[in-house]
Amino acid sequence: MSCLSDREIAEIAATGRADDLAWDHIADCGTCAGLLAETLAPQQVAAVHGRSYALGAELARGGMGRVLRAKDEHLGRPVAIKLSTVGSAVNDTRFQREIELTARLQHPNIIPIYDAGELDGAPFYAMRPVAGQRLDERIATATTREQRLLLLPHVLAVVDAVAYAHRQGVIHRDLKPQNVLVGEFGETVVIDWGLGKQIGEPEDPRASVPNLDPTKTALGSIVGTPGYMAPEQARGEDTDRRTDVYALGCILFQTLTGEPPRKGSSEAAIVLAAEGEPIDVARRAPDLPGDLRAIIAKAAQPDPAKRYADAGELGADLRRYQAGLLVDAYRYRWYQRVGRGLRRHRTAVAVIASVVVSGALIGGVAIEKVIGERDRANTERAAASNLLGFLVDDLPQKLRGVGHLDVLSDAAARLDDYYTQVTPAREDLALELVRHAEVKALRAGVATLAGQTGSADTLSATALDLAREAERRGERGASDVLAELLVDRGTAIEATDPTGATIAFQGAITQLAKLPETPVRRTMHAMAALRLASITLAASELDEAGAFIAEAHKALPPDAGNVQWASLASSIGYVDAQRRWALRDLPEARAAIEPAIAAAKLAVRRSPWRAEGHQALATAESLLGGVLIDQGELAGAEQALADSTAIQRALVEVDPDNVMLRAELASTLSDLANARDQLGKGDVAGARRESVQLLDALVASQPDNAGWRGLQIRVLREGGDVAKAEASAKLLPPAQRTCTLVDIARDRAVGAIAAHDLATARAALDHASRLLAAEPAPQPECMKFQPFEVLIDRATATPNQRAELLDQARQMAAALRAQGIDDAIAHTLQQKIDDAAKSP
Amino acid sequence: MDAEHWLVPRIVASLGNALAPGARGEIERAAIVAVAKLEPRDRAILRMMVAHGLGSEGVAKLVGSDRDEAARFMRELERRVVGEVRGAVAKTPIDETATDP
Repeated sequence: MSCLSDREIAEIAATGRADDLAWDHIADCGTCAGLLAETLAPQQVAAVHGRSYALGAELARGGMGRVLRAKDEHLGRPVAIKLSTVGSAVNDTRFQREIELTARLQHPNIIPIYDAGELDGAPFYAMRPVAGQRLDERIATATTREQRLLLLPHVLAVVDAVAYAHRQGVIHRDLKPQNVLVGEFGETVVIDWGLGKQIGEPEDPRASVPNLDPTKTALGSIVGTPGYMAPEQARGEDTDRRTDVYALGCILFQTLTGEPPRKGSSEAAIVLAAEGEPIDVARRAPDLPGDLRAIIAKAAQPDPAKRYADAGELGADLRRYQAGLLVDAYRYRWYQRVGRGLRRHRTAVAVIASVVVSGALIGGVAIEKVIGERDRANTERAAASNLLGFLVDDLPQKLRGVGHLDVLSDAAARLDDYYTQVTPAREDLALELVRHAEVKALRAGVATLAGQTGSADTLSATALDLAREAERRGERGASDVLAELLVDRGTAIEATDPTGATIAFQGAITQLAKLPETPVRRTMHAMAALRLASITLAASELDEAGAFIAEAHKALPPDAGNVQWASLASSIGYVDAQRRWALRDLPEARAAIEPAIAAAKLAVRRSPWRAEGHQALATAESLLGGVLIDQGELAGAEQALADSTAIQRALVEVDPDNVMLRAELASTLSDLANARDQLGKGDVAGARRESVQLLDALVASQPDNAGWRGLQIRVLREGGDVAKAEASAKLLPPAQRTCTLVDIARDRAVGAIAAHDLATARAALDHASRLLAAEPAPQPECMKFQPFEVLIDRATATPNQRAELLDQARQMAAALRAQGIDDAIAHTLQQKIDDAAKSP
Repeated sequence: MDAEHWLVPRIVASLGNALAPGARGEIERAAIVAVAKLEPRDRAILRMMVAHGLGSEGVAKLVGSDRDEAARFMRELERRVVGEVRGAVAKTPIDETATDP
């Protein structure tokens, strides 16, 4: 039976009635059981400084608080909320410290905090929910050594997260398998930093008796969990990075043996720890490889001086073990050295595969399997191929959703290495070429999102070469991949090379025309046409843009009920509205944006946990804001832009490596500042400052990115920082430089005219005239109107030459009309001349 | 029925440190048998209780009762399953070094 619909879940929750088949399904399906439980849980809506959360079922309860499932009503996304339950000053301080420390630690393996505040007087924070299991639950279900070895990547991910915290001067002090979550995408996150401490801060004040459960956190004089406590912690002495190293050794021990390092009551565990009783790894885990035993023993040494200095050192030794190198902690015999060298090369693909699911580097399961050389090659190829399918099809979205572009980038790079090194059999060559092309394209996509346009360009060009070679060798499926790669390539270079991108998109459409029509190919066609519409629109070629928009509409297949369709439909509506806006047809632009917003909302409803729907909604709301400003509906504009900003902030938070999102946020913030400025209320300076800061950072990271620089200049001009705008404009490529500098000179002149400083205005306009006269090849669209605009401004700034200048302007307007300019623009030109003639 | 994924870890975690390594397999078998004996609706409710924190208010809506009655129903459900698992565990050797029952 397939999963129940939302309506069926709601009906069961309301009536309590379902047939046995449905109940059986709920008992077997974690998703449906979770949804029904959530629907049945008492709904409480809590509002916190303008954001509201619908609180759901309890997910966990600990020494300091409880964690509830919840939904952020504003963004419509699921979150987990941790509420403090122990109302004491000490606990509130610890809870606050947990919030501060966790918020400060930005690492893929540390849970990100979205929001914090108070709910009904109790401190709380909202964080990304991690659907999955705790590490101790995973250990409990791993009954064989091989299954337990498969959990090693999670331990290394924990070690990495703690190593990062150590570098930031933070120690956790309560590391244990219960504080490690393994998510449904295989991601590993360390939670519960409530007992964390900045190194150098004083220890907690002594208080009452410790908790009696050896696996629960003690809230008393001795902080931590007895079963995993280092001796110095159990004795209440000073703690440092090595205290965490001890606990990591205990976690490693439990993961590999299935047993906690210390059994028995809390008191017994504390006494044993405090006495410095070593964990007898050799006796309790005799079947573990000697080097792993040595790593555990060194990490869990009773004497801190004999342990690894920090988690980074421990992680390095664990990696050496996994890579088949010699471990620092272990003394080898000669035959072991030879054996490790041989095994090292057998685990190449296991290494690649594990990095995807864990964000770590290891895969110990293959270590002891003996397989023939030929079988090994086949196995590796199959594993690489499966992994590639996983990476290309679904994982990028998932990883982007949870902010793991780095993991994706790392995994794709390793897979690329594999395909570069492997020598396939002759009959497999074409297929392997297609796969290698897909890996290169995946890397290009990640590079585009990270704003690395240079590497995106190189990678996508190589991908195309590989796919063309595969098509030439007659590989079935290569034509589709080629079309897809052409779309990818166009997208990768669109910002830096619109002409190259146009060729790529046109190439994709030509390629698709050779193949029979399918919904997937139609979608690709619509995407290519949409991008072409966007490029032509940016070049002010409005008629061509209109034709491409119509082509995209026609190619769009019928709604398949998925999020991609809704996002694409929204994007087409968005570009359509942009074009109408550029035509100054404001009512039509507004009419076109409505379906774009509706389609974006549909995408959000279909996959609330995926970023693309939210992104489409934010972009459409932002455009609506711009149109409403032009229509003079400032309150509505402010609302739309504020909504858009909130969504974009959340997107930047979950996907911090995605620089495109940052650029969009900066642009929307600037529009928001303009709307507030015109409205005369709201925080104008704050929004503008944030926008400039975002853009300064983007431009500093890529000084040659003209798109970002152009946006930065626009925002600086709107904020009145003409000097900084001019300095940045001088670094633009020649095609945009003159127009922008003339615009800035006009800004100066207009400001001076408003201040009745006609001398300054005249100087600025003369400067603009000189810039225009010096332009050797006046190609860009702006060059057509700039001289006219400057003349009009000069007429206003120079009363004694007004008649002469206006006469020149009339002649220029007539020349423009003769070139066939749009009636609306001709009307505007005439209006400007009339206004200038009337001015005092 | 994938009780080994959602029920067994909780039971193992709750019996925790006292378990001998060999007892896990026994728990898994006993849990699967115990859960399989339940009616489909009760199985679904148990899963939601154990894995998703469904409380008495939610269960009351499903079984059409007040919260007290739902709480009794939940205790009985848990007693039947956990009791059966504990019975099976009692027959397997327990680690003698453990002091926490």
